[in-house]
Order: sequence, then structure tokens, then C-alpha cells
Amino acid sequence: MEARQDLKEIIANCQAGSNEAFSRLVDLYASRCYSYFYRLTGNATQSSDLLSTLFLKLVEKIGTFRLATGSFEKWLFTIASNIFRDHLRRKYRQQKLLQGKAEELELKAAATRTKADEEMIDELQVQMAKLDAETAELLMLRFYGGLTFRQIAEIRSEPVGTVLSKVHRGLKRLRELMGHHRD
Amino acid sequence: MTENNENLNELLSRFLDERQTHEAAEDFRAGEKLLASFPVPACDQDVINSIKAQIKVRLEARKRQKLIRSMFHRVAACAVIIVLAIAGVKFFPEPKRERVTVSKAGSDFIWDDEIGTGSDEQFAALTAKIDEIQASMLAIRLDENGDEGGTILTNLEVEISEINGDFWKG
Repeated sequence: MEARQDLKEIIANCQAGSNEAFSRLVDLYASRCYSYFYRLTGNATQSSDLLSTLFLKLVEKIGTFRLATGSFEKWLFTIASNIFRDHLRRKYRQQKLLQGKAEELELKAAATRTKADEEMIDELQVQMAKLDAETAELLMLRFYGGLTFRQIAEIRSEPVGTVLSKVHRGLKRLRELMGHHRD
Repeated sequence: MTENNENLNELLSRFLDERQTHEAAEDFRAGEKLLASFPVPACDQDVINSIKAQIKVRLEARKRQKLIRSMFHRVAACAVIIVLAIAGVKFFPEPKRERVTVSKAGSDFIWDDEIGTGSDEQFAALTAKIDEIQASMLAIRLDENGDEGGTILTNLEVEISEINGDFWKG
């Protein structure tokens, strides 16, 4: 309850344009948002870029958040979700444009991949990549976003039952993949 | 993790029977446990610092923009007031004051109607008599008639007032 009150105060100060309040907001949410992006992209550099985009967007849009009635987490992860979708669209366009040079790019990508990136890719990340993008995002909204199924349903404009079913199937599939991998 | 403390069993039971609800709830718990067992590497502190620095720059830019916008609005408001004032002076000049003049015709009417041309001689006679009395009064004041001057003066004043009364009666 006290944490909620603190958060409200921080957001109110952010809306008033306080740099200190924004710093606190970054400290509070950077880790969760980074994890969300990281599990969806599997790339530390891209995740950092997306995280940066998210917080800069937050500076622009914080005035539109309704402090009295809204859930900040839901609002924040709605923006994060939109940013990730934009990223996917951009990626898709780039892939289409550069389809002819696929092999060349593959070689370049391998050469530019940092050691840190290589080290960060864990077992879960490999298996997550096998899920479709939509299911993976639902799982991340639930797990890293900390959103309720009702909130996810609102963000995705889908019935709660559909969201429940998709998350359930996704988690089951992930467990199977992980078990299969271990065998 | 934070907010998703809704009653999962209750939510699932709206769509599934009791046995399925129990199984699905178990699947959810196991899946989330699996995700929790693979923590994401922490975000680089340099990235966090860089984000904070970018936010600071953005906020300062926004404050500058706000200031410029408010100054622009003030200047625009002043300009509008000046333009309106100039337009007011140019298109709505001060109305001319009418002079109050006594109608010549009116005064002519009084003299023509009340006295008439025939009374000019009478008027001249009265004026002559007044002049005569004034001369007598002057003589008395200059003490030309000796000690009886005071009585004569009183008589003359009574006479003047009678003449005046007669004159205005017509």
C-alpha cells in the first residue's frame, strides 16, 4: 500500500517534469522492462536500445497517464508492447529488403556478435525462440510485466478466456521444449 | 510478480471444470517457476546511466520549449492588444462635441413680440430718465446739494425702482 502511494508520488512528480522522479522510475522498472525485451529479442544490445526508447517515450507520454484511475504497470507494458511490435515490423521490413544478401548478412552478423551476447544466450532463450512471437509476448507480459490476465486481455483486445488459453498452451509448450532439450 | 495476484483458480473455473481448473493452475505455476529459474542477465549500469542522461536532456529541452512557447504567447497577446488599439483609434475616431448656441431667431422673437417697434420711443424716454437720475445721484454723492443730500438720494432710489417696475410691467 505504501509502495503504491510512493509510486503515485513519483509519477506525479514525473508529470511535473522532475528529473529526479524519472531517475527513480528508471531504477524501479528498468530491470523488469529489460528482461521483457531481452526474452523477446534474445539480444542484449537490441534490448538496451528498446529500453532506452521505452523510457524516452515515457517522458513524452507521462502527462497522458491518469494517476487516479490507471494501473501504471499496465500502461507501461502497453507502451513496451507497442515498441516491441514496431521493432518486429522494422526487422521484418529489413529482412525483406535484404533477402538477396542473406548469406552475406549472416556472415556479418556472426562477425559483429559480441562475446557478451554469446554468453547471455541461455537454454530458455533458445527454446523461447521456438515459440511464435505472439505467445512469447503474452508469456512475457504475464511474467515480467506482472500483469493480470484481465489486463493482458485489455491490452491485446482479446477475451480473457482466449488469453488464458494461449498463455496456458505457451507455458506447456515451453516446458515440453525444455524437457525435450534436457533429454 | 507484482500485480498479478488475481485469483487464478476462480478465473479458470469460469471456463473449465474442477479437474481441468486444478490441472491448468498447476501448469501455470510450473511454467512460471521454470521462467523464474532462468533469470535474465542484469542490464548494464552504463545503459541505465545513459537513459537517465538522455531523460535529463529531454526534460531540459522541454522546459526550454515551454518557456519559449509562453514568451511567444505573451508577445502575441501584446501584439494583438497594440493592433486593436491602433485599429480602434483609426476606425473609431472620437465623436465631435456639439456647441450649444443661442438661436438668433429666439432672441428676435422675444424682442419683436414683447415690446414691438412702437415702444422704441418709450424705451428711449425711460433710458433718458434713468440717465438723468444717475447724474443726480452722482451729484449728491459728490455733495453738490448740501445737507439735504441723504433725503434726496432716498427719494431718487425709490423713483428708480418705480421706473424699473413700470418698465418690466410694460
